[in-house]
Amino acid sequence: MKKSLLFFFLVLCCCALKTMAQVQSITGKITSADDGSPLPGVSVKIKGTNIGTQSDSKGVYSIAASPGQVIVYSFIGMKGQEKTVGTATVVNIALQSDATMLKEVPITVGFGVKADKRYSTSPVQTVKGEAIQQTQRENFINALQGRVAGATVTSTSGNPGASSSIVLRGLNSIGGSNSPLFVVDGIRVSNDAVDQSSLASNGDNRREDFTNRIADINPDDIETVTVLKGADAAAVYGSSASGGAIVITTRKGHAGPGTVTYDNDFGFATAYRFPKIQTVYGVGQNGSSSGVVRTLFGPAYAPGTQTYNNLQDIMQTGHTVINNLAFEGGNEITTYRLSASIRNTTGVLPVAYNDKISLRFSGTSKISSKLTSSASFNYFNIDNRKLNKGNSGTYIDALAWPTNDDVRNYLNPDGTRRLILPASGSNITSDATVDFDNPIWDAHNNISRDKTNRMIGNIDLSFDATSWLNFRALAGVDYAATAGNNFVSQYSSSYQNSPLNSFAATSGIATGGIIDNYNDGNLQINGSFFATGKKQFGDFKTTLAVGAEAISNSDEVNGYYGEKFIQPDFNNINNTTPTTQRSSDYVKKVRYLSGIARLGLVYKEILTLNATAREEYSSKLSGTQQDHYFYPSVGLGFIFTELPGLKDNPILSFGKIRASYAEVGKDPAAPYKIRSTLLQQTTTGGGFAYDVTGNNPNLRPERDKELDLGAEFQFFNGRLGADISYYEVKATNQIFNPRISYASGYILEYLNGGEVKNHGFEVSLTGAPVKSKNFSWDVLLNFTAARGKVVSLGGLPEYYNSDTWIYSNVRSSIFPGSSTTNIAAYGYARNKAGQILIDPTSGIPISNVTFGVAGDRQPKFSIGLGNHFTFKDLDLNFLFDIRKGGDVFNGNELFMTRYGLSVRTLNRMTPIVIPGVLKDGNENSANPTVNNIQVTPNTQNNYYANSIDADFIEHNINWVRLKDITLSYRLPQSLLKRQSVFKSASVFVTATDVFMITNYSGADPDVNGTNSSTLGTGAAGFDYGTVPTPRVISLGLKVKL
Amino acid sequence: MKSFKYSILTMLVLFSASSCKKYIDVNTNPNAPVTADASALLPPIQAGMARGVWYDSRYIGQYAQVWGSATANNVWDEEGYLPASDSNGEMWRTVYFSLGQNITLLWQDAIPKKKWDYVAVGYALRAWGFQTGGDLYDHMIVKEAFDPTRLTFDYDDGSVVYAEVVKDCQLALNYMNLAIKTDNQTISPTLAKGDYMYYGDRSKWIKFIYAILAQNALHLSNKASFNADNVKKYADSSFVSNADNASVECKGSQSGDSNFWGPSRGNIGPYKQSDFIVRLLDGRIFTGSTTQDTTLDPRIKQLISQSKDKVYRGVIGTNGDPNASDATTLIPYLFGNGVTSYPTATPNAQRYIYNDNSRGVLMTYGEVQFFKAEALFKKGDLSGAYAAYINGVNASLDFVSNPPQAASLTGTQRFISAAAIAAYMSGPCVKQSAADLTLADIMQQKFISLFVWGSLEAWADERRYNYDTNIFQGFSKPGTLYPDNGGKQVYVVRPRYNSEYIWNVPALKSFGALDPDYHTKKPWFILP
Repeated sequence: MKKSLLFFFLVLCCCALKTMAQVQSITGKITSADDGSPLPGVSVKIKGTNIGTQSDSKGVYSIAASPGQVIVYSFIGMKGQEKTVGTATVVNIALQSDATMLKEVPITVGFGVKADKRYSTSPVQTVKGEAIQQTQRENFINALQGRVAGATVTSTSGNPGASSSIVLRGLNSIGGSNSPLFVVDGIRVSNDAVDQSSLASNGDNRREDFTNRIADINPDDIETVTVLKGADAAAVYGSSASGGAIVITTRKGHAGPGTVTYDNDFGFATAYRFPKIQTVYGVGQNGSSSGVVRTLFGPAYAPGTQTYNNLQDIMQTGHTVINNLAFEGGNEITTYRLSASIRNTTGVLPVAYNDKISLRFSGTSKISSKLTSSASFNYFNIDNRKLNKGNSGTYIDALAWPTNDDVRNYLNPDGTRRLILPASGSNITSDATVDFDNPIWDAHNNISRDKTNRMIGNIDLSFDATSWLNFRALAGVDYAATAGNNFVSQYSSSYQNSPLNSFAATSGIATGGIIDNYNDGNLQINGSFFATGKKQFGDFKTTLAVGAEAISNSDEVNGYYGEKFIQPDFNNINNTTPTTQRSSDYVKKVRYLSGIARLGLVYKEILTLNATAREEYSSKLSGTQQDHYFYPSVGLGFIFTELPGLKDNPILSFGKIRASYAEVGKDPAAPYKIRSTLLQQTTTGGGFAYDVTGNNPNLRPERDKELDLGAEFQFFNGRLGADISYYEVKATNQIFNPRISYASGYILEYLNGGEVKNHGFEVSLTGAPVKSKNFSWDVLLNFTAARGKVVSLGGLPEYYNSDTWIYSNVRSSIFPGSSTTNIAAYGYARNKAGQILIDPTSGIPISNVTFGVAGDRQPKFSIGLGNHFTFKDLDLNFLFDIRKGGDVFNGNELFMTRYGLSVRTLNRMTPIVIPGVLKDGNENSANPTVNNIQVTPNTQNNYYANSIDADFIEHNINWVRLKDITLSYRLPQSLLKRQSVFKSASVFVTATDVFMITNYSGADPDVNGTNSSTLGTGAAGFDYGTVPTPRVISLGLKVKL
Repeated sequence: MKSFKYSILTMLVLFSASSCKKYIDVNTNPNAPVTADASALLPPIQAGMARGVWYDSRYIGQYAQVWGSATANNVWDEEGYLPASDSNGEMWRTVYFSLGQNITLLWQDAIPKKKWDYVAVGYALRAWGFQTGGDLYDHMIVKEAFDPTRLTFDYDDGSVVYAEVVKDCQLALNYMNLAIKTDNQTISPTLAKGDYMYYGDRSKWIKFIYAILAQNALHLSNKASFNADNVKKYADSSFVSNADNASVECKGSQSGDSNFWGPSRGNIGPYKQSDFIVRLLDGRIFTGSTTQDTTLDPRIKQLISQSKDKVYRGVIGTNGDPNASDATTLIPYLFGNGVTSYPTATPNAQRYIYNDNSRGVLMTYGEVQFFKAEALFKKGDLSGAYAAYINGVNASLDFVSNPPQAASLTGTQRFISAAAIAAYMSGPCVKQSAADLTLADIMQQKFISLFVWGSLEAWADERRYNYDTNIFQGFSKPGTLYPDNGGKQVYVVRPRYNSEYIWNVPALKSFGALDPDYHTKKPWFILP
């Protein structure tokens, strides 16, 4: 061994000497064979050495080589070329695009491992970082809507720092999380949003929003986002990826000349969709004016009365300023990238803002020929001033303001709050005579603010033990510390839960002011170790990876609460009355330990077999009979265009059919659900009693079984491509915590039961209709159709998440046989013949006081349609988001109707007789009494106040929305030549959420009534008290030094 | 090669099941305990009992015409119910949630540590829960209750519930005797730590268990198998004075530990004394007089309230308070004469059991004496019945004179003088000889003794006699019955809506509990 090593070094030295002797500089220009345009960034390497460079922005390269050496030119998406160095010192190269382009597109399959998409056997879609960056969106998740088939993104609101939820394919888990796993450079990172129920006030998760933490990632650091859909992803990543995985690869430094990139963005946000408010009738009740109510059931305004669009009037132009700076540099041994981003955003509503700072360093070094190490470190600082939403939030406050009064006039001359009605400690929801806060006053005086410091670091070590055997170790730490401040002014009617009041809602006035603060420390550590062997046996290429992964996550929320301010409006817990102070501490610790094996087998480039196995131990099931579970997955791919008769076909360049099957085990959504917990009591003698939710030592893991069939085609050398998937998921043994008969000993209980079936169809089409030197046009179309059905709930009739019971009697409930995205609401009481029952004393329809199936939020299909044009130095990119079908609960409209604000109450003077039969005891007889009671809504406000909830679910909502459009102009080289500072420069203008054409009567059907931390089927499609996503127009420039 | 070996070794270590288990064994909740000492579990269980009685007494008190609503045609005054509501479903929560698994957990602590008195108390409270619940609901879930593997639960009929009470009482007695045998203590300091009913006095617990048995035996009075001697036997082993009464302490320091009827909780306002109780206390029923005499019964000033014009008025049937808008003649709060808003001054001492720290009364000596009186009367033992009747009336006067507060099982207030008591006992409202005694005397003196705290028992009595107005002479059958009743009076309470009517529907259907007139169905215990 030693001898051979010595010999090796001798030879190496000789070669080196020889090289040094005859070296000469080879230069040249690399262009595209298709259109002759220069190709920057092409890798130029001397074969068999570490020497290499890249072409510059003009496609020009320069490399030292000696005659006889072979220069290898390679570029993603192009056919590589090799040239042997001869006497010529100028070698120009024209690279052709690769007919089987897919061969070269690497995808990240798991734990940072790149693989060839050609060999994948399950659906994978990649979005390039540029596509995300150009939208300039604060929460990059929002840029994925329409760009990935099968992904549904719902933004909670249009406020700065709003959370967004993303669901890949359907909702497989009725009681757990359906969020995909987020992986950055092979390391799991947190996407947790604070759950309001973990605060000392044990809130109901709908008053406030908390940013989902993946939104911290600076979009400018993203190289690619690879979306692994469905259970196949989980087979590698474990139960936390049972909702799929989103794998982010960050930008790294490249070998070659160093660059400095600076870009900025100035954004202007405007609100442009509003609910329609009537301005005919003023404040009062039953047609008469009243000094004790705020409802608009009073007499009509006198002609000429000035009225105001108060909601519009409180809106402002939101500003965004982004500054990004990145340094890149490196050589073949070491590369690094350093990036900084500062982002300041204000919203369309007053006061709110979100300020973000991100600093990221990443470096790679080849320590030896066998050992490569890379590491990254990312620091974030986020300051988010929020506004409350829902019942007593800013938006409803603005809607409720009297239309003959200017909402902007909210202070008395002495600076105190101007009231419409006398201050009262009653609760808005139960008392219609309460004075809603002025929205501007609310925004300034009711404070909700989160400050986060976060650090993500990771290391990646790769060791090539032999030519066929690689060892790889990855480890990462993600720590986020958030300090939250919630402050309700002592003059405010806004309310929230109070621990002093058995967690019932109470208002600022009733309590003398509330402070509900928290500190959240979220630490996620994970590491993996893999041994990967790659060997060719005859016609078989094999890859076998065996490894282990350990995950340790902990989250600790310390809440502290106090009421009754001593000094008005002094925002500190020390200002609350000591006897009202309460504190809470919630620690969540979760660990996983898994063994993973992955086998890849390729036969003659025609057949691919992928199989994985993962055995996972979950701490969340520790204490049960089964604390571990096994996932198998197997996939088969058949590239039929490799068959002799079909190979090199000029039309069908590439064709593959694939099938995969995977099973996933899943643990409960949270730890400590095995043994029931005790709650401290305030009754005489104190002590402990069981909490309302019973835990269960008999829990078993959920089981999802997913079958995926797909096909991939490339026509005309990749000018037209299609990726088609059909999937079916059966999710059994659902772990959920339904309400149950008290005979269980509890009011809710964690149980296994129920089954959900999902199936869907996804198509992703790519096309390049025009491709020439000066003009190109690319099209991307993503089609998604998905259905989810609740097969059973284990014998229970209904399951709902109480957080989604946002307003009135409408909630996200599922029933056996219903859709997983069902909306349940109270409907009309009817007799056995189905006729509407009318109250015989009032003539107004009666509610059935029963939650029934009332709507389905699942669209029939959705389409993302992207177009990308380049004309010389101009670049135009835009994306449409199209949705067909799906129901939305228009809670704002229900509120406005009950409050006399809706334009539908303009018919109040017209007497009507509601068709139906009287509930007079004869309703189920052969001759029910037909209703002939005339109602004049103007004098019988109950006609509106008793509106039937189900009427406010709007069905089959369609929309076409221009999600984003970017026009950029690259300054021509002729111009840049005159100076030596900038290598390239471009300017751009971008607009997001530009317009929407929809049949929805409210402002925006694409909102979430709770926030992204809600489990199960969530409250997407519940439109109540949240500000819609505004239109943002931004412009900026990008320069490279 | 070495590194390869090490990695294989590392992986093997990682995969060994035992180390996996150790690594993931972090599922013990650090935020809340999952076990507790029996003494920490008992206080909330006992508080839950008082709560169940208080909450449901609001509605049952209207059924029984202990009180009524100020507004006419109140649904409960009409002997109806609120659909899709948990109103009048509190005892269901008490039995299954407050007592339920908490008693099981209490046993899990007490049995291995041989704290037999706690084991006994657990059984006694289960027995009390099924007796009280069984009388309200008739059908209950007994055999399948608390099974963590079940999603739905089948019901058992009243006979099973009643048998369960006897079984639990027997076990309670066995364990209490074992406790006494083990350490020879009458008052157990261990039990006292968590016992806010009897403060560890085991002999009083035994008396309470016998009181439940007496109630269980008496309530079967309509059955051929009824055994009056059993009632006498159990009653004789039960309470011997008001100092033995079963009641739960209320500290009255904040909302959570205050009596439901106290001014802080402010729940008593909507409930106006009934015409029935007014006429019992002003002598019109017992003496047959047509005019109100407020001097006859010294309890009248303690139990009920005068309008501002010094007249005692009560709600008749479904009439509500016809003078509700007249400040002079409206029926005031039970807190005191003329009081129409919740007292807020501190200390806000009120009379009777309307204080923040008044104990939550469950069963009394007087009540048990009336059990005995009724049983013996039915048997024909008039002298025995009379003696018990006199004891009962005396006990009631004593109870009203000295209502229990805070940690004292009997009060020392002496609101009623010995002379007044003696006058009443020899007066026209009390029968002076066994020969004159009627069932109506027993049942109506019992009705007075149960006032406010014992509405559940009062309603059970009325149902046993099918609302017979010869016995309950002040009971006024509602002029308007709830539409779903189909003209029938109320006999049973529906199981809690949000527990059963949504989550356990098929089980309800099996015995007709989904019928609109289900609440008029007679329960098993009153059937012959």
